[in-house]
Amino acid sequence: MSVAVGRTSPRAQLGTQAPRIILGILGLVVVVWLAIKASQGGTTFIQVTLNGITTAALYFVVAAGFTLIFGLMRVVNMAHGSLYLFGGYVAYIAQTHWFGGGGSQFSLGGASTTSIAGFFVPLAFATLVIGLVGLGIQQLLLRWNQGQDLRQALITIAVSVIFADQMVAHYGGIVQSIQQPTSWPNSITIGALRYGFFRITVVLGSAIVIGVLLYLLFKHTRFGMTIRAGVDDRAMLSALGVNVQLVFAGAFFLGAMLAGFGGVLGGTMISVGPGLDTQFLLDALIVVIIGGMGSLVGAAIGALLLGLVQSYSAIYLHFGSLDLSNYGVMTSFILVIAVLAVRPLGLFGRAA
Amino acid sequence: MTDADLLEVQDLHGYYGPAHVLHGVSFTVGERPVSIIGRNGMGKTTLCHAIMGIPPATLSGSIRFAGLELLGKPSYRISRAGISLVPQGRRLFGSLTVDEHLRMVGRGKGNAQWNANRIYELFPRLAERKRNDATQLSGGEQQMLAIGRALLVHPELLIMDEPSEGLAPRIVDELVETILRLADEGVRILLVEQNLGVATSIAERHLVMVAGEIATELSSYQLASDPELQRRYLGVEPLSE
Repeated sequence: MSVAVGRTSPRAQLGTQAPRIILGILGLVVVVWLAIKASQGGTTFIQVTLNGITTAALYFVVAAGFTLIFGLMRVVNMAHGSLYLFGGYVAYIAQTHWFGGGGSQFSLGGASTTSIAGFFVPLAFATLVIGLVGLGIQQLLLRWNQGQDLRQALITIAVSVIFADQMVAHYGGIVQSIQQPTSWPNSITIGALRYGFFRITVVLGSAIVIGVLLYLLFKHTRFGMTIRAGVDDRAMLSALGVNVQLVFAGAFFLGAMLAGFGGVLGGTMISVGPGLDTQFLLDALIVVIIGGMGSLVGAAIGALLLGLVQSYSAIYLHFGSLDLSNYGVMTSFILVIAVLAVRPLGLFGRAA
Repeated sequence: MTDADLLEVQDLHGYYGPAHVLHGVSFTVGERPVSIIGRNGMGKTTLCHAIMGIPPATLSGSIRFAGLELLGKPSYRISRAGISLVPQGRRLFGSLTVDEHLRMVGRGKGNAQWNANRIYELFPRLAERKRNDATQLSGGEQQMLAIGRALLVHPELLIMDEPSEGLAPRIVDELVETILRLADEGVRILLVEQNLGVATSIAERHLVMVAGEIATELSSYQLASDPELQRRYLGVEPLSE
């Protein structure tokens, strides 16, 4: 897949100007509409915005792993959503079996309590297990198909289908959720605003910490330099004595761990249940397509855009008596089309 | 060091799919620099890649280095065995700065012959441009970095694929001096060149490659003194006097 970018003739330039102008107007309309809404209901608007940002944080964690794997290995890991969901289930099972917590979202018992360890041990355990599962997929299935993009995509799709069925078979179809520590508050209040504690502290905090750590890893460690060099020129890197297979394995392990970690966060913040694997795969795909495949900054910006667009369109898509809320799902794709029309490789994408 | 041949290539055949591109190449490299010359498309770069284990050519025959068979070994093992490549077009890493190139490759051997500081001593220009991205360097600086990067794996044999390509004459002179200095320090050199001036200043033995074969071996004297030979094998204008 190669897209020609760069010098364009005046005629072609005119062609690319048209979508820019249309999208500029569209963007302006959206901003004005949001400004009106913001002035009408301040607290609701802040809450909706925070929903968008915290959802974006979760998307970023998941998409960062996806984009890391793609950037280095050119593997579009279609099983990334399965790793996400499986991470949630592993933590859920660990929590219920080892700490007696957890439970259906609809059970109002509240008899069981969850300790701090009862949350963090399953979180760490699931993250590690998913890292190893990802490593297994890479070593057993992908390694000997290197450079065969289509084959690798099909293999990971097959893996995701098998995972989806197996998870339904073993964990059932009921939506569950992982319990946060009972000692933590459910929400925090700032002035007139009440907001979910877990979302704003743990999820948003994790995303920021992970973003910073990944940045430092890429920018300042030898492993990070090796990954960047591997993205640029794999064969040359190997000719300098670097065992590229080892770097691949490390990157896949790390990317899968991020999916698993995200799965636990999502399983606590929202839920764990069938169908979330494909939903998060799709969201991760949208994020990296908007942001540019392989770019960490792109994943952050893409996640933020997607999170906000989804969050706003779930609430603000009614205009007087015209209620378009049901079409909210479409706005994600309008976002993709809008970004790709202007930047075919995504906001921070570079030609391979 | 002994006179023993460090690199022994024997009856090396190479294929890109059905295309037969190396037709039984045999030669040796010992203590003194050796050059491979020939026109474009004669298989010189393919040969460099074959020795270095860089895909995608399918190979048969034998490449022995210090008694070790390299054929079929992954690239990083060949590098660790003591061969390093300064590739055609330099192939620097666009996302890395000058300093990152050198820090990433440098291996912390206790008695390390080469480290980042020594590279900066060898090429003071690079020290000035430490924080620059590799893409921001001039052609000459890029070549210095490509050589510095290759030296950091502590090679016994340095393969240089058209190092003078695209450089200004003054820079080429500096480059030749650097390569001669490296040769004096005991780094063995296999040089691929189209610039006969560079080839004859560095090496005494010249292997002429024609259509995937070593057509003949010439001394610097033979090569320099016979314009007809130059025209026939290299398609180049004779060396100017």
